[in-house]
Amino acid sequence: MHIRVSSERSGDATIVHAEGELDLHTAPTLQSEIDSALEQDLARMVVDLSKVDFMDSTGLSVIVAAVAAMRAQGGEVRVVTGADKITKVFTLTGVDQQVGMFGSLEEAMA
Amino acid sequence: MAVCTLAIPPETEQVRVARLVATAAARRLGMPEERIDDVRLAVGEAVGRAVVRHQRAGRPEPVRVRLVTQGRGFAVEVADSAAGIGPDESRFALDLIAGLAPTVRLDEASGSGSLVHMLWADATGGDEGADDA
Repeated sequence: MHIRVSSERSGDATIVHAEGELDLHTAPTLQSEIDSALEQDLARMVVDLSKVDFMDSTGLSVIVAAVAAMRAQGGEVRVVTGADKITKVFTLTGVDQQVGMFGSLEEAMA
Repeated sequence: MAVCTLAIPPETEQVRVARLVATAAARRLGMPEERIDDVRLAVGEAVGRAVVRHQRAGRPEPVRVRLVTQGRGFAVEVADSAAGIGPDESRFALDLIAGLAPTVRLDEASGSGSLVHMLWADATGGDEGADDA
């Protein structure tokens, strides 16, 4: 497995951290972590991808689903993208228009 | 001209192998690092798409990947043999492939599966982006 995920609570937000490669094989691991975070029913979810060095469309789909689920319960998702190559996955698909994107965890939590 | 062919088993963990080989071929050709990232993602998307199509169609045979370097050009073909399974479920995968490779062709007319052809005609030069796609 080339992904590591974890989560923590900070105020009214759940921060989901991912580290490694997020692809067709590993995206279900992030999905499980996000599903657990959704159950906490907090106002915000911050998905921290700053230590992700590869992400494909399946990783993106997990985040898009999280955005929809959080909206349905009146919350929001913020994404920390870090590397340009991760940001590019959002911009080429237009998903950057649907979700708040931040360059650092500090900015996302502000 | 150098040609490398891969037979990737239709298993999700094998997509990474195709990415690694394509990345190594692109680096050997002298592509800039940013462009190598594009190759890694585009090939990963095309192979991942083919693996999912094989799984949906119940086809156990490998996905075929062909990497061709010639002069300053780099071409990657990903062929699946999953026919008659309806439209792709992932719009994002095709959006990304189209945005990452300067020239892309999707051939689904053969009746035996689909072929994604990606070409970086001037891989080591300045044909940044997908303007001539």
